[in-house]
Amino acid sequence: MLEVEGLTKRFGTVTALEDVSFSIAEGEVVGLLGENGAGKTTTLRLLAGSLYPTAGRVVIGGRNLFREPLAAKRKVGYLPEQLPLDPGMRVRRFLDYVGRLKGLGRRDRGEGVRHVLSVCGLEDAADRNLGVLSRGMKTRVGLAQALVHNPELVLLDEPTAGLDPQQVLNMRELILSLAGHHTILFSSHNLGEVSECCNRVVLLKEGHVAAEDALASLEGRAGDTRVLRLRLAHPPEDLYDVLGTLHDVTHAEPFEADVDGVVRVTVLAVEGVRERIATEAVERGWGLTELAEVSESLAEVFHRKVAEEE
Amino acid sequence: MNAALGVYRRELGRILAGSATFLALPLALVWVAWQRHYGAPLGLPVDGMDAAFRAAALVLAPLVVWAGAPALAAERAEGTATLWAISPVRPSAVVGGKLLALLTFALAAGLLVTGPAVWAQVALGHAAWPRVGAGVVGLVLLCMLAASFTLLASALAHHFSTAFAWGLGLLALWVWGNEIMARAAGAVAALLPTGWAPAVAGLFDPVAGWGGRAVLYPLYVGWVDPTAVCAMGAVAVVALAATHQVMASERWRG
Repeated sequence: MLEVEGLTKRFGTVTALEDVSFSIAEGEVVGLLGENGAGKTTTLRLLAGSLYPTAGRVVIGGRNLFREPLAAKRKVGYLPEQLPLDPGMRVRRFLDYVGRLKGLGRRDRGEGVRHVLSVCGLEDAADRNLGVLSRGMKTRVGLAQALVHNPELVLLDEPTAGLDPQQVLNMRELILSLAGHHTILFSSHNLGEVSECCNRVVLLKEGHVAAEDALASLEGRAGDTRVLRLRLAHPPEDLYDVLGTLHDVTHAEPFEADVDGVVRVTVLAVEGVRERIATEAVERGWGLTELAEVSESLAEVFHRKVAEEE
Repeated sequence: MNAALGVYRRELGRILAGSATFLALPLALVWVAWQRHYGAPLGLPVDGMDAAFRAAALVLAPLVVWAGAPALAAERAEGTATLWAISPVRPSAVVGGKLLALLTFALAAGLLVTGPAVWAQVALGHAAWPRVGAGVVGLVLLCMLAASFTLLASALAHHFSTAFAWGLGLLALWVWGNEIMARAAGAVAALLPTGWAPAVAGLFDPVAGWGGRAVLYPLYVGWVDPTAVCAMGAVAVVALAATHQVMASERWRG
């Protein structure tokens, strides 16, 4: 459905994206993950056709976006992070206007507007002015405008940003309800959110694809290892070397930067290792005050994976 | 076409809902009252339509600039211009829709402003239909030019007020351009070696005097010749093409 090859975007001397390549099959729901400034929004804007690339190729449903922009754009619905809503228009009228821009005829427009009003739960707000709607409702209208022409590919840029917790849950349900009807690529910096909605993840870091994996595979990686938190009153200088020699310990590092005496120990199995670390700490007089297992989130696994690959 | 029609309908709705209409109505009423009490506007003779159309031009041209100034600048400021960039729409459809909406508005406002005057002249038996026709053509040309200048200014500006100022500035440059250029040419010629002065002054011959005035602003002299139609049409097309290019640029989309 979507093929991205060598996509590069430079703004003057700043390189926002460098040689980004990935593809999405029809019906997939893929999360585009990355920290602020990683290049998520630039990627989505390029895919939506609102920016021109410095280099690279994007094919949407068999149409090259930069050679046949009109044909390719008919297949795409895009919800930008900054909602493109006219505060002076009513919801129904706005969606009708967007339908016209998407090239829908009168009948298709009428059906499309009715459908998205129903799907996005906007029927009661259809005749209200966009300027008076809550942030959550505006996001729904933004999603409705992305869906009004029933696109094959839907691009969502941080669809839950700025929403309250209940609205976030509602929006996630809405996105889940779209899966199966559309191919979806949505950006987020919240891996928990992505893990709920997506079956695959593309991680961007500083304009590059740092990792691309199925969520099931990542969750498998999370199950391979465990993490212990070790707190010591008198940490020795050779602490990490000593810990590294212990059986089943794969890695030891400071838990937080600039905090002495708190260590993250990655181990293959908790049982046995905990006893070995405790024995070592007592015999060497490290002043052990805490030795506990901590649960590592999917996000931490993902970030660790990126660090390992770097 | 469908997209252009969508842009047209939305733009017309926005203009009619805006303050421009409220500006046009009282001006039309003032015009009618003036006609009833004094018989002629600004002390000009009653036996022709020229004065009516000249005064209408004074109202309509800035009105079109006022109505058109937010056409693109506001869309960009609100973020709704993104919708054009992500939709299968060419910038020409957007420019065409906006221009058509502005001309429709100008036509309606023109009818409001000149209609009572023309009607009064007809009732008095003073109507000279060729002059009315020339006045209408002159007004349409002038409104098209004002709309084209304003759309270009609106595409270049980030705010309505800047677009309004630039639109008025371009229009003023067109209306009084020959005088400004002639004076500038005189000043430049004074600095040049003697032999060059006639050549520099000659550059402005085509737009100097009343003949030039008719090309630049036909309503001053009350008739429209083919040169005026061509000149104003060509400049409007150039301004619209420039607007199209500005909108197609990535800087504008971004």
